[in-house]
Amino acid sequence: MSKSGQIDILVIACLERDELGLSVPNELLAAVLRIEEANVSISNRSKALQEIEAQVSKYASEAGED
Amino acid sequence: MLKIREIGIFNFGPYRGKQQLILGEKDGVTLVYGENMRGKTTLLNAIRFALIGKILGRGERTLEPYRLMNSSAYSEGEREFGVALLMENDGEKIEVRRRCTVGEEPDRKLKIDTTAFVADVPQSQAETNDLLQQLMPEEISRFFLFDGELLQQYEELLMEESVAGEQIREAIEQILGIPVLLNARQDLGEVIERFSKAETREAKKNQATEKHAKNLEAVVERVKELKKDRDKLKEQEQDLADKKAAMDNALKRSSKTQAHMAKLEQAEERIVAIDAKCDAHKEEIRDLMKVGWLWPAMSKLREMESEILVAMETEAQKKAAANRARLIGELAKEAVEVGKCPVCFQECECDGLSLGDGSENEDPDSEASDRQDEANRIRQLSAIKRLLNHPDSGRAVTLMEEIMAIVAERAGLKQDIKDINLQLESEDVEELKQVQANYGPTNSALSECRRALKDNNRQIDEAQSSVNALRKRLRRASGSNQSEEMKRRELAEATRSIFEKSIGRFRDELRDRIEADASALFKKLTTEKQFSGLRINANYGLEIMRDDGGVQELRSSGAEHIVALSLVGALQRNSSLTGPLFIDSPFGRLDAEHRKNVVKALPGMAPQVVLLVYSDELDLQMARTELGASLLAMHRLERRTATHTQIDAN
Repeated sequence: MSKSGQIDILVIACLERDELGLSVPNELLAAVLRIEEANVSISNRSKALQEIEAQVSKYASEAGED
Repeated sequence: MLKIREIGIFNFGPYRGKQQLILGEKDGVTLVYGENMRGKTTLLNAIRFALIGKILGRGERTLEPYRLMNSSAYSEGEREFGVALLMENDGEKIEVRRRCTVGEEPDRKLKIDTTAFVADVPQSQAETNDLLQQLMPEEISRFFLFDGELLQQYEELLMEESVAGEQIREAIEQILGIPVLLNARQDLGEVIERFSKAETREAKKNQATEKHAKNLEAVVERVKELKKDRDKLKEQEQDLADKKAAMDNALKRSSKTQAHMAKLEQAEERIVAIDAKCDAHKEEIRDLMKVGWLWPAMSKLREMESEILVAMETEAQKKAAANRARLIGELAKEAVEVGKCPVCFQECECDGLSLGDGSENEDPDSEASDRQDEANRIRQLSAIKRLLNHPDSGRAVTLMEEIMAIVAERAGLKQDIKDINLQLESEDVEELKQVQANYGPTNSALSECRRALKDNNRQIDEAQSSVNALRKRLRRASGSNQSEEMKRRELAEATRSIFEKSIGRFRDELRDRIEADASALFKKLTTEKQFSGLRINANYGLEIMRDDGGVQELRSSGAEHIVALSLVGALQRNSSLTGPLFIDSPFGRLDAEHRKNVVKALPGMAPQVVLLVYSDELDLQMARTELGASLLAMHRLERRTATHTQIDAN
């Protein structure tokens, strides 16, 4: 996907987050999108799952520390 | 952005030996033209084969690649053919080579070696497969390598519950990048499950939360089972939908065969009907012939009947005249006797006048003879009428004429049946019959599967609500001792709900963009001034809008073509993957003005456009004028022999 396409999706995700009133950091949203973009055509999802799991864990601990 | 720099082919279809089509580095339009059967579609298939390993025949049927070995090369003992694509993807040099070796008759087993090179470094088989899948996923290849003759299929997007339309819609969403969000939602769901398991495990260790954790574990397990069922049902649904789409395609492809079969059935039914009519006519003629002996006498009898009637009429007139004379005589006699007219009561001076009573002329013998004659006539008339009541030969003649017409029609129908059967010999009737027989059951199975899927989704929703309720209880019971797992699971859930909501918003935005871009392109392409643009529906189907605000309901084949080209152009502009656009026969049944508009619009549709046209389809001078500097090169496909086409540069 082009850079502008990725930014479009990220902007939409941030807007939805604000409307839902959820505290999910921009970085996590961007990281998940990056992982999905890199793995979009790969049918074996295990690599994507591991990477997302790591990202969520990282931001969950950071939120705990705050 | 993916660009194809060079296409190398070897003994591929009609391209004998090694040949090259160099597309160069600049953006613009390359024109490849030639007469029919020179190999334009084969060239498109060579690219398709290199990128996705498949070749397509008419009507999108997948063909066995061994068919693409050049036949004269094969008969001269050569067994290898292949294709190589030199590409550039985001500045990186990529080459893909597919080399095929055809086995001996009768199997002609094919061995295909595929290798990709990135910056001249050969890739492993797995890397090659991943690279090709990333460069050109098969599902969206239709938007980059497309057959203009199949543009009409985009009309399916306007039809509710069309399986083909659904498949195109999915491909459109894929090219627009929606799978990124769909995968994020699905993957986060899996991650939530993993965190949830760990969370429950932790909670079971704590006395305060153990009970809730166990309950939660049971319901989560139930959700998992239901989801497994859903996956199976989805697979089943996909399988049935694919089958139905294949059947729809087969039915469309075999429309000629269907028409022949319907004509055959009609002719056979007609023969049965006219044979029955003929038998009924023959039966009626047999009945009529029972009084056939009468028919020669019929006209004489009618003559006699008319003579008798005339005689009876004459006799009646005679009788009436005699009666009148007798009455006048009686009145005159009375007047003489009384001296006064009994009618007008005038005085009469008729002294000494003596008159008879009118009965002087009556002859009793003659009267008796008249009565006898009259009785005879009545008897004769009655007998004649009885005979004339029988049907005459006219009905039998009509029936005979009809039988003759039936015999002639039957002979014509028999000839038609013979001709149709001859035509059907070259068509795959058995396949069509099989498709027709399987169509109904497949359709029912698909509906049943969708019902089951709906029911399964409802059960998942219910179980999921229970999971949410139990999680809330667990959270309350945990108090301030929230586990790391719970935090992770909650963050993953929040992230998933964001992506879940983003899907709809992104789709809406994309639809708006597609509608605007397709409308702009449509207005450039159409010659109809009253069309104001296009309106998109939920399936990306496009309706033509008139300037009075109404929807153009009836769309000609040309209009359909222009709408489809507008959609393809708009998708290219909004695609998550930018690549070359190869169009085979894009002009369909378009008139000269529309062709000119399409040619003018080509450079704006994609950075690299390759147009494959047959010679009469495009005025080359017009293309040169309209494309100007955007025309990079023109290549002629020149016939050397029936099995050898040479790519020449103009």
